[in-house]
Amino acid sequence: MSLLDAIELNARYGDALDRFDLLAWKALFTPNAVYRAQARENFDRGLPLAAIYLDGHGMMADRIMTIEKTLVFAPRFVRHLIGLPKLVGNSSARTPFCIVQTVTTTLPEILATGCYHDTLAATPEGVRLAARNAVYDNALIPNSLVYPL
Amino acid sequence: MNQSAEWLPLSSPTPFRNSGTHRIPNRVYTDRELYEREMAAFFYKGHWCYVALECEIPNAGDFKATMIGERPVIVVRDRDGSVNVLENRCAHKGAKFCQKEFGNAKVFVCPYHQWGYRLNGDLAGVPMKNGVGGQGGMGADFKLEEHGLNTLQVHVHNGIVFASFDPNVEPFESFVSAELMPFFNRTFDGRKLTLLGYNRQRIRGNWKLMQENIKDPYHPGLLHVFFVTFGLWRADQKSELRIDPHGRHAQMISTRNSGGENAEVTKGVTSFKESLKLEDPRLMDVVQEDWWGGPTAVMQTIFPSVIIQQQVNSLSTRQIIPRGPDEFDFVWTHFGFADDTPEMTERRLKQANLFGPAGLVSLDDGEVIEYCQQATTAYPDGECVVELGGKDGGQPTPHMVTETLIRGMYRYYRRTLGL
Repeated sequence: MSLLDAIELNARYGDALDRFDLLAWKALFTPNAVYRAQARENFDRGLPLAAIYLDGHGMMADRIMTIEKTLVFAPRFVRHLIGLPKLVGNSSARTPFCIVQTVTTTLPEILATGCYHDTLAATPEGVRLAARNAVYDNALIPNSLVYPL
Repeated sequence: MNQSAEWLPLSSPTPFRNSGTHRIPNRVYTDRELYEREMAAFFYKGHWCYVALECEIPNAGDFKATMIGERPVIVVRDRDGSVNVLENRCAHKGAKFCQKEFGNAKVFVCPYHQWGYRLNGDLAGVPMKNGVGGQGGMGADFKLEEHGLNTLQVHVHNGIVFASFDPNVEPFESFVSAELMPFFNRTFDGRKLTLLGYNRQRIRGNWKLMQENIKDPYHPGLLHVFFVTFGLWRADQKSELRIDPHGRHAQMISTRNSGGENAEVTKGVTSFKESLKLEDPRLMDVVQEDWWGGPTAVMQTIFPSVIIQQQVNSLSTRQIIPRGPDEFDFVWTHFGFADDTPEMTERRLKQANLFGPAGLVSLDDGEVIEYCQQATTAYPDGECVVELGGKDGGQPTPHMVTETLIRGMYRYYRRTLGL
């Protein structure tokens, strides 16, 4: 696992979400990967609740289905500004992020800023996320968290 | 309760245009003067406001900083096990001295001049009280016991904590009402609770819109495509609405059915999507719990400060913290019970995907509340029509096809504010 692998993975991750290509987003996880978007207050205190908690590709697909078919929300753009990963051991990384949201017709605002806590896996298709917890520092979300962080 | 007589006349006449509450003037969502009255009459007087679950502060000295209305308070476990609620406002210079949201303290010390307070709010000591080298210091008439923190009335009810600034607030059980206590006690029956965690969001809408949202059984089967499609909440469910005699609190009680198509509730509903299926059914892996005694969802509005949610296996309190007429913070505290199996805890955490700022149903609510605020602000002379189920002022109902609970809340609102 090289730094370049991790950077490449994050570049694809942010690009997929910012283009609303949610299937490409899902494909960056291993089939049994766990994705969480969790407030830092829960993470730091060992409380298990996450705002989004998806256990495997099936639940990720269901979240995508709800975003595309059932949720009601004002149109918006998101922009993932992902910093440089800090590799930790052989298969883990911590990577800072800042995600800016622009709800159409209003000014941009910071939706979340925090740190990805990742477990990485080498697969035949390349490096994938075996677990990602997007731990956001801002306990308060400006109303809605529609797309994964 | 608060009578209108104590209020100064409003600078403009009542915004209500007739005697009922089936029309809600837009001004109640936007007017600063009405908002200030609401804070004084509902959050700071005559009402019990939600502040905590006991499981957030299990040990002596554990504290939680929170808000009642716009006022910061501290909820703390005293050494004798009792719970105190103190103003988070130093008696000296008025500093909000406790800046941590959670922690453990033996005493509270304001950092500014280090006035120190015991866990019951008593002032324990003041630096340089007796002067330095015979000079300065407090006067002979300065008494520590006259400068403690203001303390609130506290009621701990089977693990949930309410407080009131009003020394004359009525007993908690009569505040909630005999009509609503049975289902209130269904969740809070004395079992030990466990804390699962928090979600917080800032919603740019009037705080009452959130109370209305959980007094409105009209919308869930229409707005929430997820609910209607997967059978969690629909107009054809067995259901009941309860309301206290004042009209302020309510419970929406319902029992889920199997989902799918039912001509009356799905044909005209463009949001119903028969073809949708979950790839992973664990998102909706509902397991009946004995304590439900039938209903699969009980949504309670305890006016003005909190919503108590049981929606299948997901439990939370949702605290309303107003921030002016056009914004509030919404704090979700998810919990379970100490005797939950690991599988049940996991189920509660997975079903939490439906709730909070990212919730597969709750996200819709935050969005439409902002839509309401955007247009009512722009059209202050408009009014909302709340006539589903009639024009009554709030009554118990054996079905969900009504807005009677909202009319009940505004009956109480008008009477209490003298509008």
